[in-house]
Amino acid sequence: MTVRPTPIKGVYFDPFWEFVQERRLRVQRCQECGHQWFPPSAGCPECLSEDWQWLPVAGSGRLVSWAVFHKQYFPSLPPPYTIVAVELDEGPILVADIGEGDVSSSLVQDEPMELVYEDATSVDGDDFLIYRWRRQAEAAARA
Amino acid sequence: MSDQSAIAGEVAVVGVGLTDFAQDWKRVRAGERPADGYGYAMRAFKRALADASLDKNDIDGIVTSKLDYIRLAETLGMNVRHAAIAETDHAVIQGAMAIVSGQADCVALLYGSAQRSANAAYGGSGTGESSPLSYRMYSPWGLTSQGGLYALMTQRYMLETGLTERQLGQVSVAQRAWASTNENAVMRKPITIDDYLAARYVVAPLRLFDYAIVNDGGVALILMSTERAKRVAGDRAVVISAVARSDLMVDTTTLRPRLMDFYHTGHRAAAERVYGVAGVGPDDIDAIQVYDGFASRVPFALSGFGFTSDDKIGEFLDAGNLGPGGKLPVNTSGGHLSDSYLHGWTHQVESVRQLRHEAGPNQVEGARRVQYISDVGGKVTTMIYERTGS
Repeated sequence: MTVRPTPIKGVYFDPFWEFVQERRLRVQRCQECGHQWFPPSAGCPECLSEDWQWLPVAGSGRLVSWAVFHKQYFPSLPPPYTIVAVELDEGPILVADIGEGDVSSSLVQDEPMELVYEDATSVDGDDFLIYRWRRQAEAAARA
Repeated sequence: MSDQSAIAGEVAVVGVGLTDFAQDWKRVRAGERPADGYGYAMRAFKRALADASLDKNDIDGIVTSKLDYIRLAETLGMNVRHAAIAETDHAVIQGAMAIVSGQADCVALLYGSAQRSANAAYGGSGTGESSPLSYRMYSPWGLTSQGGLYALMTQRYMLETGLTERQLGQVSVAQRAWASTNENAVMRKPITIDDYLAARYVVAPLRLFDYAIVNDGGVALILMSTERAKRVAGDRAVVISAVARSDLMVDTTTLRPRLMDFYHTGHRAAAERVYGVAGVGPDDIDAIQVYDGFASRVPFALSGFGFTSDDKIGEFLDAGNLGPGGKLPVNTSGGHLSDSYLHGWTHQVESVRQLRHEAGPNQVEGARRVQYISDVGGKVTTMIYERTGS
């Protein structure tokens, strides 16, 4: 699963994806009230301050939910594949896939997860790094 | 604080119209294109006018959704003094607001969609710039559909409440039973729970029968002040006795209101207001129409509005409450899963038919109040319709 639909672009998504290319996913942190948010936007949704910084996330979180795609939506993404929603330690929920196949039977609610970065090619032909989720238990087994 | 009560009891439905869902489904399957969205709206409009014994010149306001009202008014040859585009079911509220605020005296709510014959794509590379961010942001991982988002939400709900796939299947089974006696419904062949479980997953835990059908059609409703509606339509006037809306947009793209709350905060806020204004509670509701783009929206809504609770939802569905003869009839025409998926609009017409006691074999005996519930994208919207006759 290396060819993927092109990531979303925009004023705030462009730097977000540049950080991902450095293997360092970041969310925004408000300098006024400390609120941390995602997806990236112009200012703090809590206090409307435009004084914010990009905060590198630790890359770990807990598994909130999952879904297994059995219908094919994109030519380059053959089903089945499993999508997970993970609540980052920093607060926001981040959705990504956890790999090819139906891995739902191995997943446990609230289990610890970690971000990994992998090579991918967009359908437009550009090479880029994408982030995905991996079970910490699986990472420990590999180590 | 506003309790959204200005509309309460002041506006009524005097006419309703639908197109021929089942017939057009067959024509589209045969390769025909029976109409465009405006054409379906026109057909439904003519039927609603006939139903209300009105002429199009009696209409001085229109509200639509999805269609461009300029082109719609042109297509129908109408120069009105109020026109608006609303999102799906909010058209009812928009139309009622126009009447109570004196913008118009007689408002037609008009909807039409050729989504099937025009090959509308839900998910995949057809997801355009105008789609919600949550349909676009997750595309590199293959998640672009509302179904994928509802699969995540349903899975979480199952983890939290113990609801099983078999229990969820009771929603689709019950609604197909309603559709089986509705001649206009697209999908009428009854299904059993075993049929449900044998059907393929689309995005697990959601199966084929958990998804709304994608079909062509049109819907029209005509609104007036209740006072005038009773003069014009007598006991066939159906009053909008309360409406309420409560949005959950904060963190919507990360799916937090879905996954962590199942939109219940919005359900509870809207329930408190709608029942408060109408002076009734869940026990006084004779039938419910839930915007059921996906089957699991029914348990989310029934639990959130207090008809049951999250910890009892599985047994509540298992008890067969939702179907014909059940204690809490839900989506009595078959809903979006089996009757027609026209974005909440058909549910308004079904509410009116039930309260006029004109729902034929699907009539809920003695229905006096029907509640509509929707939470599309976290915009929790509800209305209570009430019968005027004895």
